[in-house]
This record gives sequence, structure tokens and C-alpha cells, in this order.
Amino acid sequence: MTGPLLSVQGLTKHFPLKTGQVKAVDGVSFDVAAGETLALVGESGCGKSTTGRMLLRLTDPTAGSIAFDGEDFLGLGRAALRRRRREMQIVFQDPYASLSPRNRVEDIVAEPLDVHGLCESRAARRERVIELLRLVGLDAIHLRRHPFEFSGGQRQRIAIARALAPQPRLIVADEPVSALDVSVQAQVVNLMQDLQEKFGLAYVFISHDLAVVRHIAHRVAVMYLGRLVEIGTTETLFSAPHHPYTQALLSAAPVPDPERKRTRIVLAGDVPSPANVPSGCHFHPRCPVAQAICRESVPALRDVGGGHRAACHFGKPFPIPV
Amino acid sequence: MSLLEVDDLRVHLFTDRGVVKAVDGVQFSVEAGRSLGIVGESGCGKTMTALSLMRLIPEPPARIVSGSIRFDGEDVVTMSPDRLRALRGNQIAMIYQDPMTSLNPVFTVGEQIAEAVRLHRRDTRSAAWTRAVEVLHLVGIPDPDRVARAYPHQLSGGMRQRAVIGMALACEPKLLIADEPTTALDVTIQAQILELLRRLQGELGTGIVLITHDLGVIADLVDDVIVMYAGKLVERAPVRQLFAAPRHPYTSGLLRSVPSLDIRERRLATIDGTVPPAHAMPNGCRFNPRCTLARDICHEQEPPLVDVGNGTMAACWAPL
Repeated sequence: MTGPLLSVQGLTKHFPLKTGQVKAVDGVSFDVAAGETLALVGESGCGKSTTGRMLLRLTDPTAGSIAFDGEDFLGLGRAALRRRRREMQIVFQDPYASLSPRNRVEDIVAEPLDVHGLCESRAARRERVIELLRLVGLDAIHLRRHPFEFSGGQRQRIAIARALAPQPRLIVADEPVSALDVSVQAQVVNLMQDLQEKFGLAYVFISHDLAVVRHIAHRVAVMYLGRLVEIGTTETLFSAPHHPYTQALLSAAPVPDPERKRTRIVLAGDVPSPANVPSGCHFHPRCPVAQAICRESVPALRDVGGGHRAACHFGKPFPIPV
Repeated sequence: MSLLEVDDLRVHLFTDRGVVKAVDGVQFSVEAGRSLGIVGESGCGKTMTALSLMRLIPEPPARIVSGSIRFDGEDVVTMSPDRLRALRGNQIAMIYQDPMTSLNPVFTVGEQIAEAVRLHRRDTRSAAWTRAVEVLHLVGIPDPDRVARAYPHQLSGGMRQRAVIGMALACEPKLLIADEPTTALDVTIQAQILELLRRLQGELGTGIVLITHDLGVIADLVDDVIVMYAGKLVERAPVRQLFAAPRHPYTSGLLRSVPSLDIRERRLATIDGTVPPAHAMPNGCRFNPRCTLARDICHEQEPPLVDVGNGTMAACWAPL
């Protein structure tokens, strides 16, 4: 048994303001095993995208450590960083913005191959691109086309083909299906799962859509205002969520079933600004079960059984009224 | 008589690349105090349909080429501009997806709501302001006096959408058209807004037309649903009926491709292929290239919308 593919400890990103700072990510720790999908979920401004970007050093962390395959990733020099990045790729939410409109599909998909010098000849490059296109359900006839000639779902397939090009071991996917229609979304989710099985890829899957996460993730990490509030296997997190925020999030997700009139935990108020976070537990002003201690001290992420961890002073599964 | 009766509505776009039949023969009705959901994927014509109800389609290139939209017995399609202006924002109100673009950044929220009130009710400034604060309170904004004096950028997304809903309701419209009202919002805020819409429908008896791509939101809020595909109405049913026993293969495919929160299937069901481009629609049923049940007739003739029992209408040659 080897260690995790990716190990993140105390990852922190503070953006300075004229007065004070935005604590976008505040001491986040988790591991991702090879071939595993870890979902990062949470609402706008919870820091999930910033976390995803830091994993690839697209944004430099303020503090914390990242180990990729046991090697300190943050300490790498330029050349070593470039070599490592071959093994980690990213897919973004908006396939309209992430593909250069002036390039042809062949050049878009081959870009990582060119950057890392992975093809010896033009013929080999073309052959590899065709192979990649077929993997994502496209074909050689698409080589010479431009992104505008494709639908949103097809563009996302192109973005995935590009990410696969250097044979990465980890793909960070930031809301990869959120901009897609539901029937197309299902196609792309299935594709990502097929590719994972085939190549043993690990995914960090960033999403606000809990139903998609339930389907694709092995483990789920819930973030709120820059902190990890709960992390566990998909099964336990969805069936026995421990943190009141996770419970509210799950109960608020609209379910396409009119027969099921659920009792919602409707949280009062909005997510506070990350520039002005509450004391103690960040969630306490909206928490239905908050006590005095929640205003004063930050709850640690504690094991609540079987590796499932929750950051709540009252570490037990609160019954969700169903 | 229904509050809103839409019959054989056709909205075509006259473009350089030919005529696009964005809405092609849509019919439905909404009773007072009831809600109708219009669901479908990008480009299916749901927003065009919604905009047509208040004659807000971009003309040109769009034009209502046939059909009628009867609101309280009056046909919106042939209505004079003056009459339309009296109706819009007064008896029919609309809220959009992005609350930031429906609010003017240089006026306070209260001023904007009061302006709408004064326009339609000829109230005094102070009476209109009082009404503005009142509706902000109605939509559940804490401290409405302060929020009325705030500018849109000073509010969060959820607060802005509440303010926009408040503005829409300020003149007590009989019909509220909501185009993806919660799509830009986080799920906990979405839950608040859906709760609010449900409460207001009950308290004020407002008819609601809700346009969304989110089947979860549909299941949560509306009484009846129409499903659109490529400009066509493919199915119309009471909400429970639609989810329990969809009759059109497209509706069924759509419902099955939504991942479930409860059950984890090994693979998600999909609908193969994509929506055909607007200027190259297939012959016959527009869904036939993606339909696993298509037969010869589906490639040749367009299926009419017919009663298939249990209060459901479907446009399919071989309903499920």
C-alpha cells in the first residue's frame, strides 16, 4: 500500500484588501488516492475553486503544503514544476471560454503534447490527437474544425481530450458539467467515469450540484467560507451527514419528485462575506443548533467514525426531519 | 375563462440564414392562483415563449406570426402599445435570472420599486415609498427600511432577487412570469426563494409561469408542466402525472438523465446526440434523430398534440 496520490495539509489562501484580508481558503487538509474521485462541494465563495487552482499552483497558496506522489509540490522549481504538471490537468466550467476560438481542434488538443514535447513527429502528433478524440466520443473529421462549430457538450469533450493528452494521473475538474443541459450533462459524467476506469485517473471534482456529486464521487468534502466542515465517503456523507450545514445543503437541493414533500431546513440569512467572517465556527450565525461555544471557539475537524470527519462542536448526526 | 390562454403561438426569427421557428405552435393556459412550469433545454424556445407573453421579444428579428395570447380575455398579440404599457409591470410582471441586470445600479432599491408603483397607481411619492418598504417586508427582507435606501451592489444575490420579486409584486399583478428565477443562486438561497414564491402564490393568489431547465425546481413549485423541445410543445401534464408517467420519449429521457440524490446508478441514462441546429430541423417529429423508438412515420409527419389520458397531452406518434 502506497501513500495517497495527493496530500494537502493546512492549505490557505488569503487575498489582501486595503483593510484586512479575504480568507478565501483557511487551513484545508485532505488526501486523494490514485483512481479516486474526491468532490469539493459548497456554495459561491466557499473557496472550492481557489482550492482547485492551488492544487495545480495556478494560484499560489499563502500557507500549507501539497504533496503529489509523496513529493513536496510547492517547493518545486520551474523545470520540476513543469514536469510534474504533466501529471495533473484541469478542466474548467465554461467550454466557451476555455478553448481558444482561433485554434483548430487538433492544435487545441495537442497543446499539452507540444508543451511537454511528447510527440516526435507531426504524424505521431496527429495520430495521438485522433486517438484522444475517439476516447471522448469525437472523431478524425473534427480535427480541422474550430470550437464555434461545436455544441457545449462537444466542447467539454474537447477540453477533456486536451486534459487527457499528457496522460495525467490527476484531473481537477471545476464545475465541468454545470454549464451543460441535463441530457448532455449525463453524457459527460458517464464519459468521465469511463475514462477514470480505463486510466485509473483521480479526480478532484468541484461542484455545487449534489446529485451529480452523489453519482460520481467516492468521497465528498464540504466547504463553507474557506473551511472544510465535513469530509467522508459519499455513502456516509449523504446518508448520515454530521454537520448542520451539510444537512441544510442536502435538504435544500431540489429533488425531481413532486410526491416527496420534504421538510426543508431553510437556512436564514446569506453566506457572510469572506472578508468579514464570523468568529468561532463560521457557520454559527445561520446554524439552527448553535450554542454559546460556537461563537467563541473554532471546532476542529474530528473523526466521527470510520474516517468520516466533521467540524462541529456537537459531533453527532443531527436528525434531519424528513 | 382562464387568466391566461395561449393558443397556437408561433414566434419565428427572420435571420440571414433563413427562418428559425423558435416557438412553433404552443398552447397552454394558466388559471388564477395556479402555477405552470415550462421546462426544456437550451434553445427549446421556453424563454421566447415567456417573452412573447408580454410582447417583449426582440422585434426584429423575431415576430409573432400566428396565434393568440389571451390575458383576462384580451389578446396581447393585437394589443395597442398604450394598453400593453398599462398591463406590463402592473397586471403581468416578470422576473429574470440575473437580478443584477434587472436593477438599475444608480438608483436605490426603494426608488426603483416606488417608481413602478407611481407609474401604475399614480400614488404620491411618500405613498409609493411606503409601498416599496411594505413589499420588501413582504418578500422577507429583514430591516426593509434600510434595504430600501441601499443600492443594488450593496445587497447579496439572494437579497437582490428578493428585491426584484418585491418590485414585480408591488402592483399586485395577476400573473407573474419568472424566467429561471433561482438559477443564478446558491442552493440554500434557492430554497428560500422557492419558499417565498410558494407563500406569495398562496397569500396573493398570483398566477405563476415558471421557466426553468431544473426539473427539481419544477417538481417543487408548479401545478402543471409543459415540456418543450426544439420550439415544439411535446408534452403537457399535471406535475405528478408528468413525473410519475411521462408519455413523450423526450420527457422520459430528460427525467432519467437527472442523477438522483437517493439512488446511485452505475451509469446515468442519457439522450444520445444533441438538439438539432435551429436552421436545420429534421422532418417529421423534431426529436426523431435522438429517439430510440422512432418509426417511419416519425421521420415523415409531425405528430399533433393529442390527449393521451390522465390529463396529459403529448405530441408523439407512439406515446409511452
